[in-house]
Amino acid sequence: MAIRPLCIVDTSALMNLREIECNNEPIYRLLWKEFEVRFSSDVNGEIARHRTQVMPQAEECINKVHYVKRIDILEERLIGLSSSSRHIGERHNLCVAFDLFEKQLRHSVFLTDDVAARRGFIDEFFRIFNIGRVWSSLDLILYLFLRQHRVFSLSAAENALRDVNAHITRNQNPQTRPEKTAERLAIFADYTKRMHKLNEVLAKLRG
Amino acid sequence: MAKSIEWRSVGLRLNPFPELTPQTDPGQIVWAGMPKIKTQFEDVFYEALNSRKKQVVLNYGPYGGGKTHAAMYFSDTARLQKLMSSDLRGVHSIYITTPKEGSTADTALYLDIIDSLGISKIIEKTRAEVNAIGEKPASEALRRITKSEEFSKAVVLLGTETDADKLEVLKRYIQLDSTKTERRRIGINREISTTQDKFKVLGAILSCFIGLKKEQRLRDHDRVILWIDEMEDLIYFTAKQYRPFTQGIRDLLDSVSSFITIFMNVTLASPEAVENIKVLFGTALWERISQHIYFDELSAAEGIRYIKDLLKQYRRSSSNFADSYPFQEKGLELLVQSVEKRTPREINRRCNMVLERAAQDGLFTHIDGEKPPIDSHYVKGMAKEIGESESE
Repeated sequence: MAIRPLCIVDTSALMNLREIECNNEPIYRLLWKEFEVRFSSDVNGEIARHRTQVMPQAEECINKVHYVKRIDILEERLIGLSSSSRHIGERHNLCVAFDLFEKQLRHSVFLTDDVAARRGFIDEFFRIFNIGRVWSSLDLILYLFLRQHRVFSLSAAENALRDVNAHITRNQNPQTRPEKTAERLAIFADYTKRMHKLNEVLAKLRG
Repeated sequence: MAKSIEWRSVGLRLNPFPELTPQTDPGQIVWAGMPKIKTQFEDVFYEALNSRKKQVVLNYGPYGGGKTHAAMYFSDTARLQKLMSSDLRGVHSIYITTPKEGSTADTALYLDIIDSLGISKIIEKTRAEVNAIGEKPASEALRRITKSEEFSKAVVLLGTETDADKLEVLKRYIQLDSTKTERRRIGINREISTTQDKFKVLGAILSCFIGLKKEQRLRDHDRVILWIDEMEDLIYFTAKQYRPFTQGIRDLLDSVSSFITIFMNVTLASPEAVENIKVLFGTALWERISQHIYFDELSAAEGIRYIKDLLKQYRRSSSNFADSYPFQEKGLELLVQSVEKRTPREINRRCNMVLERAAQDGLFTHIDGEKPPIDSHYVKGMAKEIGESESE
């Protein structure tokens, strides 16, 4: 079997993907299948705290946890000191991505829907350390559609985009942030259009 | 805002620059400036009130651009009747906002419409229709609309039931608040439970307002005008919530073949983003739209006209101040030019700020009818101050 791409997964993404199914299976199983998934032990703990029927179960997670020796020291050197426990999952996931790059020379897809963490330090980290790229769950849906379009139909993938988009915004108040609503709409429309374009090309490739 | 101003002292009745459209009597709401948009609406209403045509109108534009204001302004029946030159029986305006909670959106929309029409009015209109065309034809017509014997029976019963207790149960049934035992008492076996059920019953009720006669003569029918505001909030719905909701709106549009106008208001950052609405609505709903009205930001000249128009409409009849009073012409020009996003709401906000500050600075203490107190120098100083505070 060919080596699968590496994906460092954050809890926020798994939460936003939790209601989406493909072939009567939770979509995260497609993610498991398409990628070599890894996350920090903190993320594993977060998944356990949010565990529902459609979140990955403990036995599905245990072999995906990547332990980094002296992670706190690495974290401090890579990102700087943090006095709070905020974004600890994402911070440690960055250490996972860096550690895997160092040890296996592998670039990774860093999957997160935490916009604040991205703006805060993730995007900047990947801008400096060119060891992978950051994806949101919307990017993942596009990719899974590309890879699995025979089982993941266009309408199912469109619904998945809508679900993820709605979940990403679940803490926003549409009443007070009209510009945020317009921004979300623009993002959603952009991904939907890209998916249709992808579908067109795939149809041509299939002849 | 601007509470400290004695409006009378500057020749005005009230504050002309509210930041939000007041949810009061639509008859009290004024229209200022934006003549092109007003004409577009008047054209839509002229057609609505003088033909049987079904209309689905998309209103879109920036936040604070005047969409909700237009809904309020044109919800005034007396105002609409002035545009009516036919013998159309009547007109009913319903204004609702897109429900914020996706999981209960269908119920919220259904109950908002029922509430807006009023259960007593629903009974009155249903009774009049059943009396006018007879129970059997009414039942047949409603069955065609609802595709359900039970729902058509329930709506007909609204128009025929004379027992007060049973009528109370029927009211609760329509308001989704009846028990199985109560439903059995009135002989209805089916609850209004799914999204599709709710839109079917809505279709039947709206049809009773419109009129059930097969003949499409205007004198036999009313027009229903439904405004759905803030439809951009559909973006917060998951697929499971979105699909039945939009399907329901489509079904409603399809089940009522004429004498209905639906305005869908969407806030959008730029006119180019109209394609995003297509994605948001989905092709099926998008293709049912018959007309677009775009609320563009105002040019400087349009902004000045808007302010003068507002001032004119709030001017005390006894005052003979200049039309820009309490602003000097140059001051007004500068004020409008300094507004970055020139929407009515943003212009109102800026006018409020300037007036409030002018009142605090004592500019309205000694009024000189010949010389408006807010000049370009004053506005320039304030614009600098506002610019600094907003960039902080």
